[in-house]
Amino acid sequence: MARMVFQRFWTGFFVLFLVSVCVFFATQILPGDAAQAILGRDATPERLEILREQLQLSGNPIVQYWTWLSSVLQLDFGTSLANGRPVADLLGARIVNSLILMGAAALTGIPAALMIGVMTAYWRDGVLDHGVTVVTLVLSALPEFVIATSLILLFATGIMKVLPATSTGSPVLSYPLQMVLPALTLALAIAPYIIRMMRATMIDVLESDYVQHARLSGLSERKVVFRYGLVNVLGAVAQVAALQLAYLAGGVVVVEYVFGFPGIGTALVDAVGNRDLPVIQAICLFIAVFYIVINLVADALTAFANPRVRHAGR
Amino acid sequence: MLIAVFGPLAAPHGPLAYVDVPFSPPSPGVSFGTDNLGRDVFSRFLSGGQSLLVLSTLATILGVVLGGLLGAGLAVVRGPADEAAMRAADVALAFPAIVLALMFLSLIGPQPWLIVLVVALGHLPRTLRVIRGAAMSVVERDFIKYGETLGFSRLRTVVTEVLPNVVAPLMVEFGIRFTYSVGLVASLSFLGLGVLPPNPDWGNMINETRAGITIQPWGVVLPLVALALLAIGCNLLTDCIGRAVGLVEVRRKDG
Amino acid sequence: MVDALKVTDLTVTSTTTGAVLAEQITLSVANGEFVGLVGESGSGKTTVGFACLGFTRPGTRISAGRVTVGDCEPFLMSRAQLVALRRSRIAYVPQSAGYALNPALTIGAQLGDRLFEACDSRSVLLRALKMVDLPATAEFLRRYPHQLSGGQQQRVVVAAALITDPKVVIFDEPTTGLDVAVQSQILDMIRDVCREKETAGLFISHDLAAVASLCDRTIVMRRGRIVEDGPTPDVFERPVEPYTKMLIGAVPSLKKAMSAHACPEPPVGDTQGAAGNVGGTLSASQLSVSYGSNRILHGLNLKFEPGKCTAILGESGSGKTTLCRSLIGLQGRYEGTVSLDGETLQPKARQRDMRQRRDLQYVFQNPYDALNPRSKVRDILAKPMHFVGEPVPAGFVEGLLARVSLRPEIADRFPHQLSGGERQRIALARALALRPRVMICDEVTSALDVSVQASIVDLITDLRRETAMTVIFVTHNLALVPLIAENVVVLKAGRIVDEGPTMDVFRNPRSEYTTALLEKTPDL
Repeated sequence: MARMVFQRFWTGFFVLFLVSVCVFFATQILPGDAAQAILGRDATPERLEILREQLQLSGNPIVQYWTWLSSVLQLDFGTSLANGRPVADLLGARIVNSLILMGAAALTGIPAALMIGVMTAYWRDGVLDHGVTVVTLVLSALPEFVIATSLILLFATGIMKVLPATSTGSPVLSYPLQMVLPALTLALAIAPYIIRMMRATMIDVLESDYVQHARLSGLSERKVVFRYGLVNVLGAVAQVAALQLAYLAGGVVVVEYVFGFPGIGTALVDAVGNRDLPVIQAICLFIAVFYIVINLVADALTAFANPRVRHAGR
Repeated sequence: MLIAVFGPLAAPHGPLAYVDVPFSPPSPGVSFGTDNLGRDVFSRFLSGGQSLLVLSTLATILGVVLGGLLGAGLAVVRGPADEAAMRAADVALAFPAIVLALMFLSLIGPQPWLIVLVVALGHLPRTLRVIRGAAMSVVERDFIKYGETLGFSRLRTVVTEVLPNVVAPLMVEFGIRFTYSVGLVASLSFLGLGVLPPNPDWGNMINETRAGITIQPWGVVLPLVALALLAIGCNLLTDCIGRAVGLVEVRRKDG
Repeated sequence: MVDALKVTDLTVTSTTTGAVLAEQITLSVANGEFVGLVGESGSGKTTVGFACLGFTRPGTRISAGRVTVGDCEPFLMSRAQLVALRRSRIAYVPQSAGYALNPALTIGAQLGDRLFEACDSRSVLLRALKMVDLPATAEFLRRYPHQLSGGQQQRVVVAAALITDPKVVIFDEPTTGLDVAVQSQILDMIRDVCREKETAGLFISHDLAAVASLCDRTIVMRRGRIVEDGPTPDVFERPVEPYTKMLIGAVPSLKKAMSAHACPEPPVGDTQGAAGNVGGTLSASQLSVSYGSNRILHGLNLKFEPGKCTAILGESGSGKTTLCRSLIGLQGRYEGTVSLDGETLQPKARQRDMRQRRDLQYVFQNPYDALNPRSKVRDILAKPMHFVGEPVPAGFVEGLLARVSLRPEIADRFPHQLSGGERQRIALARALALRPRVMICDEVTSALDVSVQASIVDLITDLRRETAMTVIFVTHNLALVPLIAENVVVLKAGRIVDEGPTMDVFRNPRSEYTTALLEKTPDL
């Protein structure tokens, strides 16, 4: 099993390397002359030259990539073009903020969704099941900003003015109320998928021969559901949760923007507006790393939940 | 969808025309008030769905057709080509679709063709995986092996043997991807990277009128409801397709 | 004295379609008695088995009749009472043990879950393992289901059923899918244990030989109804119903075949058959196949004589399917050579030339898998002709259908509208379309019911009479071999252990393995 995790780790590492190549070449090489693209048509030659210097645009692309990669590995992402501060300083606090936000959404959304999913599977075709099906159908269709704006309309404007619509800019943890709506939006965005997956998986397990066999052997219903049902869903839980955590990394962009939340999402949108290449590079890389790490952890958990893999050695 | 297609014809005012003071409340003639630049919300609402629908349809078709063909092809070919493509898909999957789109749009600038391309690109690796998975289980089956004993070419195998048997997942995938397309295109335009202002679009309308949400909620509510209905409609359609296809499969199993 | 199990006028119907799955079933199992419930797929025997446990599958319901276990009626009991009943009086042994065990729990934990009274569980569990002839060690209890062989899994399931000392056990096809040798061991074990504990059993099976060897009484079901019920010797020796007669007649019997010299007379003396194609000579020399370090075939030398039918006999894991796939060119990679009429063939079918591909045809094991579900029968049968670029003459498809005894209307159906036997006939017809000189049949009868099996064997023999092609018939069912093949090759773990004319091999087997197989094969 250790070997498998190790293998996964290397695959992840390799993917990460390819990702870095993509990010670098997409941002630096693709637009032709990145400096020109940033400054626009009426830039003076001197300014262009300075910017090219700053972006290390001259020379062989492979050498360029190497210089860039070695500084990135030392967590030096260059300086922001918009305000001249080092990117690492600029993003450090924001990454923490975003992680807190995603964590809050995941910790509320995932367990609740798992429970609802399992319950709808167990009481299949009941009132709860039908109700949840309709709600998930609706929720899963809506883009995050629609959910976000609807929540603002509901809770932060005339209808019920109980929660702040936008972040105040104060440190996140000192004013946690500002996190409620964004976290709720994200939780609502990921929940439908988890509910559906859990429901489908649990139904499969409940219809399996071994659950039927356990029932026919006179095992108590509680034992059947927990020891024979839920145990076999655990592997799937890790996969589903990972997929949704990774999805959060994308959803967070729009949601932070709607609420003006000081995280990487707003930073990315701002950077895109300013064509702040080093910042875009850094955020894309961060999101990719996040995705790969989450998947790695999920694979390891799934493998651990499956005795076939766990005891493959014997 | 009806609104999106026929809306522009019914609009009382030009979508760009200045009608009244910014953020006016509803009044006769301007039934849902005005937005941040004093334009008629209702007229803009009626014209705002068209581009969204066109762009997301094109993107979905492009993404799903390419993904489906490639997925079925890879399942038949296998070997190093398959391995390489799957790694490439892994790399592409490491970027959430919206981040990918933001990256390209920021570099090249918001262009309709680019939006279609970028959204399709976001679908490609996901559709590829799903269809490859479905095709794999078809390829394992003996009727494909029979073709091999006769020496069918790979192209023939993909087109006449595999594709007809993945039509069901392909249709479901199309529905899912379409719903996502709508969401993604709308999100992009909400972030100001879709249809260029001042042209109306439900996404950018919400963003523009957000500032006046307390004084004139109609500017937000109308496009919001429209978007929600469109997205939910797509999703219901997908669900129906899924159920219909599922039923057919069950019937087939019963023999 | 009260019967251990009694079913009276039981009718089970589908709640969605209203179809009757079992109709007016009346049967009883006395204490300590073993009753066999025999029927082909779709006869409703499993439905009856479930009903005895107070269980109906979702979408079905009991519309009439009653079930009594001892003095209890499971369908009139509360849920708690039903649970108590299943814990003490009645138990169930399911069909495929591999699916019936929870993959996430150890054997010990799962057996332990079936111990409902407080007791010294460790020693009880070990005793249960010993009872079913499994190693009674703590280490074994810590194993997971996937670490056991199919036979061991089946033993565990039997132990789980008997651990509560029930009065009656429902066995639902407990030996299906196991190798012959393992099957007979499991049957012996079930017989011994139940006799010792005086447990009664309802033994549901499609395997007449197993029922004949195990049960005191036999009940035959067909399409949801009981057609025959009597002491086992009477039912098998003096069947009353034509269906029972047909069923018993269809079971290939080794003894009968051996004594009657039933080996098919070699078809038309010259190798020029009525259809005008000559049988080809297929041979393999030094054929070896490995997966990584795992060697499946060990340098086989084989020659399939033209116009003859050669059976390849082997249990699961013997490499018989790998051998076939190498011959046809699906394996893709092997050492050694395969040649047709002296011409060496390329390892991959795609690299072989068109004539070679036409001359060799393959029929797959599973007819549900071998036909494209999206094509009509007409297209399936015409496709090979289109592919080789020959015009399809009028009536071609109908002609093929007639050769495999199917009606012409079937041409416009889809595979899912046909029965298993019909599909296998279509697959044979498709192989015939290109007038092959060698036809390889890979376990073509094993996915089919007994009565259908016999008709497919007859069909292949008929086809040989008219075409004189070479046939390679792969099977695990020893009793089929004398009915169809002049020659036989016995494979074990990738090596040939016996070969020669069928009667010679079966009368004077050279290897112990063949001898053991001949002894283990159940017979009526």
